[in-house]
Amino acid sequence: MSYKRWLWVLGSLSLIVLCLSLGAEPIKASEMFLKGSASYRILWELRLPRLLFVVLVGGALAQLGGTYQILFRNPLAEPYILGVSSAVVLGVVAGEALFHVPVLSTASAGLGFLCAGLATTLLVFISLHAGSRQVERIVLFGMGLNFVLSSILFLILSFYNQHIGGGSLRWLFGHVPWISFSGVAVLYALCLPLLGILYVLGRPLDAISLGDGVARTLGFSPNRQRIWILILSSVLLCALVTYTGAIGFVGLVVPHAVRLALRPSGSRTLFAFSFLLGAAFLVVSDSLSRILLPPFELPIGIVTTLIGGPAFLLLLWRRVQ
Amino acid sequence: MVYRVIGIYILGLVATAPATQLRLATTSPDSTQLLADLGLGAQIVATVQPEVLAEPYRSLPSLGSLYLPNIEKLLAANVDTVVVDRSLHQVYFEEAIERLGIPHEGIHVTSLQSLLQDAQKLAQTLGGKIPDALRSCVLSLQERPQVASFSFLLLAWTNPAMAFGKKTLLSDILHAFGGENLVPDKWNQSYPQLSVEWLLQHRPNYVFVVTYTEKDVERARQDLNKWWPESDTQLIALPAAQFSHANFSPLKSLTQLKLRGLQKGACP
Repeated sequence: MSYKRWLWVLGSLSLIVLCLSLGAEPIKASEMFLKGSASYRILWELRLPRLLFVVLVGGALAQLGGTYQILFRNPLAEPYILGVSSAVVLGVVAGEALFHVPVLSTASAGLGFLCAGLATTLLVFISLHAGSRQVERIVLFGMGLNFVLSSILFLILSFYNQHIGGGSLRWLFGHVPWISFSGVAVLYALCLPLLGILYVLGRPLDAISLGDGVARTLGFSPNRQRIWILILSSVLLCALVTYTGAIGFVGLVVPHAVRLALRPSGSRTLFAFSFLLGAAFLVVSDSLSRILLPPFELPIGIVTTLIGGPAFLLLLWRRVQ
Repeated sequence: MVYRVIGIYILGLVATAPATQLRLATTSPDSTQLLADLGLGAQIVATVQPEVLAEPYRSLPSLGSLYLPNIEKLLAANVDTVVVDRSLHQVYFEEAIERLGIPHEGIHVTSLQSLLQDAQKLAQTLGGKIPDALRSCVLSLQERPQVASFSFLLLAWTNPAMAFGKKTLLSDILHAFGGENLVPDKWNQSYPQLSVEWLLQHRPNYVFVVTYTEKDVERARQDLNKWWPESDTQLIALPAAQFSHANFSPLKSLTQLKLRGLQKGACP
C-alpha cells in the first residue's frame, strides 16, 4: 500500500478516536475509569457504543454507494435511489402515526423490513423481466417507486405530524440514537457478513462495470449478479435505515472522494477505503451535530450535507484545476 | 429510589425523619410548572427550555431541545428521577434513560382527570402535595353538571386555524363549564388543522384563541370577521402564559374565560 493510502488510513482512524472526546459534556480524565461517575457513564455507556454504531453506519452507507454507482454505471447513484429506504421510512412512520408503534422498537423495525421486502420483491420482479435494458429499467422503476412512496409518506405526515414530533419526524432527517452495546452487537452481526459478501462480489462488479458483454465473456452472468447484489444491499440498507432514517450524502460523496483522492484500481479497494472514509466522515458529522449548538443536537443528515457538499465541490474543483 | 419519609416506630409512635432532597429533571416547561405547584420546584436541577419559564426556573441548566433532551447533560446533572412529558413523544430520550437505568415518571395531561391522576402520582412518588385549593377546583369542575349550553372552538392560532381537540386539558375545562367543542371526535387528533371551508360551515358561540401579543388578538378578530361576518360569535383571547400549558396554570386564571355563569367557586 502506498504512503498516501497509509496516511488516509491513519488520518481516518485518528479522527474516529479523537471524536470520542467530543460531546455536550466534557469528560474528566480523573473520572474516566471511575465506575459510576458521570464521566465514566458518558464515555463508556453513551459515546463508545454510539461511536461503534456510527462507524458501521457510515462505512456501510459509503460502501453501498460505491456498489450502486458501479452496479448501475451511474455516478449519481446512491443507496437511496431505488426506493427501498423510502419503503422502510414509510413503514416506520405509518407504524408510529397510525398504530402508535414507537420508532426503534422491534415492531417498528418489522414494519420497515416488511415494506422494504415488498419494494425489493418488486425490484427483483422488474429485473427479471427487464431483458437487455435491465439497468435503466431498475433505476427508473426505483425512482418512480421513490416518488410514489414519498407522496404517501407526506400524506401521512400532513395528517399526523403533531403526534410524531420527537419520534419518526426527527428520524426522517437522519438521526443517530443512543444505542447500547448489545444493540450495536446485533447490528454488527447482521451487517458485517452482508458487507463481506458485497466485498467479495467486487470482482464480478468489476467485470460488470466494463459492460454486460465483457462480463459474460469473463464468465459472469450480469443479470443474476445484479439481482443478488440488489437483494443483499436492500437487506443491509433496511437494517441501517430502521435505526437512523435516511442519512444523505455519505453514500454519494464518499466513493467519489475516494476515487478522486486515491484512484483505486478495483471495486474491492474502493469498498475498503469507502468504508473507512465513510465511517470517519459520519463520526465527525455526528460529533459536530452534538457540539455545534450544545445542548441541542442537530439532525445528522443536515450536518452531513453541510459538510459533505462543500468538501465535495472542493475536491472536484481541485480535480478540474 | 430514595424514600421521602422514614417511619421509625418507637412505642407505637411514628417519628418522621427529614427526607433526602431528590434531584429532579423535567422534559417540558409544563412538567416543571406542575412540579412547582406540588412544592417540588426547589428540587429541579435541570430542564428543557428554561428560557420560557419565570425565575427561579429560568436560570436552571438546560437539557436542550423539547423533542430530544440531551442525555449527556442529564447524566452530568446526576438526577435521581426524570419527569418525562409523554405528550411530546420523546421516544429516543425515554428509550435511552430506560436503558441507562435512570428512574423516570411519565405524565400525559389530556383532561382534568388525567391532570389530577398525574399530579397525585408525582406527589406520591416524589413526595409533593397538591395544594388543597387546586385539588378542590379540579374536583368541583369535574362535578359540574355536563349539560352543553354553548358551542366553542379553541384555537392555538387562526392562520392556519389550528384547533385544540377534545382530548386536551383546556377543551376539557371548557367542557366542564357546559361548552361543546365543535371539533369532531372522529378526527382523533390533539391539535387538528381546520380548513376554511369547514369553519364556514360551523358557527360556534365562542372562539377562544391563545394569544401571545396584542397583535395576535387583532389578527384573530380580523380572521373571525372573515369567516363569520356579522355573526354574534364572541372572541375570547387567552394569554398563552396562563392557558397554553397542560398543568394547573389554566385553573389559576379561570376568571379570564369571561363565560356567562362562571363562578369562582372552589377555584383560586
